Amino acid sequence: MLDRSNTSVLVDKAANGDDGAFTKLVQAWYKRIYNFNYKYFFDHDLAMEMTQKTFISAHRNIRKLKNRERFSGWLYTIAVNYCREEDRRHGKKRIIPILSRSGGEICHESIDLQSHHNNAYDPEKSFQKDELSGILMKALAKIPAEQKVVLIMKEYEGLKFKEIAESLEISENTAKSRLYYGLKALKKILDEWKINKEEINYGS
Amino acid sequence: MDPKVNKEQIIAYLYGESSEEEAQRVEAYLQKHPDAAAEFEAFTGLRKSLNKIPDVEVTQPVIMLDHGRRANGPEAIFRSRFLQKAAAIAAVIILGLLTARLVGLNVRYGDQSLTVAFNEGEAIPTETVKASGPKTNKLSLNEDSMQQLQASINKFFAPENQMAIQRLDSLESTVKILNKKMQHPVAKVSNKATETLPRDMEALARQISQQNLQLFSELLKASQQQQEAYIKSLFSEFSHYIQTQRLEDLIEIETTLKVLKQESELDKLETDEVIARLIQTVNDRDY
Repeated sequence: MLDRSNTSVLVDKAANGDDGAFTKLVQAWYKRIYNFNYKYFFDHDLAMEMTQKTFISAHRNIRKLKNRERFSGWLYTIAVNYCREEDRRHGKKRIIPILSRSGGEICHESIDLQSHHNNAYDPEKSFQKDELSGILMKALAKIPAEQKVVLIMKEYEGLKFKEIAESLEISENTAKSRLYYGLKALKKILDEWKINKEEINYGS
Repeated sequence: MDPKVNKEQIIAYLYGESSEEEAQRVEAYLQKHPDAAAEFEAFTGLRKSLNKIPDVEVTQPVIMLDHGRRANGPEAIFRSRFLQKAAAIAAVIILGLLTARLVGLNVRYGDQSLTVAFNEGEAIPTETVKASGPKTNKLSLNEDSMQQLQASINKFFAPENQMAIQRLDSLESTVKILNKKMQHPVAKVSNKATETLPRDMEALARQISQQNLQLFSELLKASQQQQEAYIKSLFSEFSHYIQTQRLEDLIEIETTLKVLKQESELDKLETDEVIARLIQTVNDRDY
């Protein structure tokens, strides 16, 4: 990952039409933005699509970025906007692929979000089948989008509350509050699915 | 929640973003409040678990950047599609002319004909071949010798011709005799046929019309059955579609309601806390 000063220099060059500099920025940030999108949708294809859109939009608008230091936050802002747009378009009809037992690799099996609300869905059985990450992914997919975005930005992207607040154009306290309610909602969902501390190991 | 320690401060402490003074205050608060401490502990555990979701390795694909949209000023003019097309057409014309020059192409149109030549400097002949029929090869032979040839051919074939004529005459007489012999029975047969033909034809026509009628009615029946089956299948498909749609809608509504319920519960919690804090602030001011 590039440090701040290098990033600023590259952003400056890219804003002046240097495509080589922009390519370096893409190389440095592609994985992060992809993973942000992936944790938001838990869908490889959608994450790839959103990441592509994010960088294409960034390339188009990088000249408008006044504060070069804010590049990373600005990039996340674009990504979040595309995620929201996608949510608006397809809403909750999206199907979330789950992780395979081997971990990390996406298997072809998929679970409809709506099926969680059916009585037929048995979280205990599902837990036996899937790995912990699969369960957490499904739980994460169920919390409100605003809270999920903050949670991903903080937990996986390691952004400071100040950066999150700037990216989402909210106050730092709102970001913290959303994270608090996000964690609380996540815990509640896991409790509802009868996944206790010992099983998920979140108490240790 | 204690007015001096709120959930934002606890979250900041959880993520190591609180000041030293704030951290001490939160720690003291958590020691005093076991419920908050349990929640904090659960959050810490949850964070550990969340970190078990791995980052996905991804290969960066080629991103097609749209340079055209970013260009401005003179660059944009050169990058405009119209100019690019015009330049392409001009290039093709230049290339064509260059090739023509190299191969010495010479094209001329006139007198309702198009002439093409590939050798520079060589004048195109002004006379052009106009459309005409195939050329006739004239074989000029002497008239006397032709007559002599005809006479010798006739002489050579004369006996053969004589024999053929005789054979033809004998065959003709044989055919006449046979005709006479056959005349009587043929006349009898033809008389009978003219009597029976109208009756048979009438019966045949009646039979054909009956068969046609039967076939037509069968066709109608079959088509009616097919239509009925098609309409039935249409109805069943439509009812199945309606039922599926209804189920999907119900699931959607249920999902939305649950999410709404969850969100409103969270909002209620937040509101309650704000009200509690307000009341506490008012109370603190009163005392």
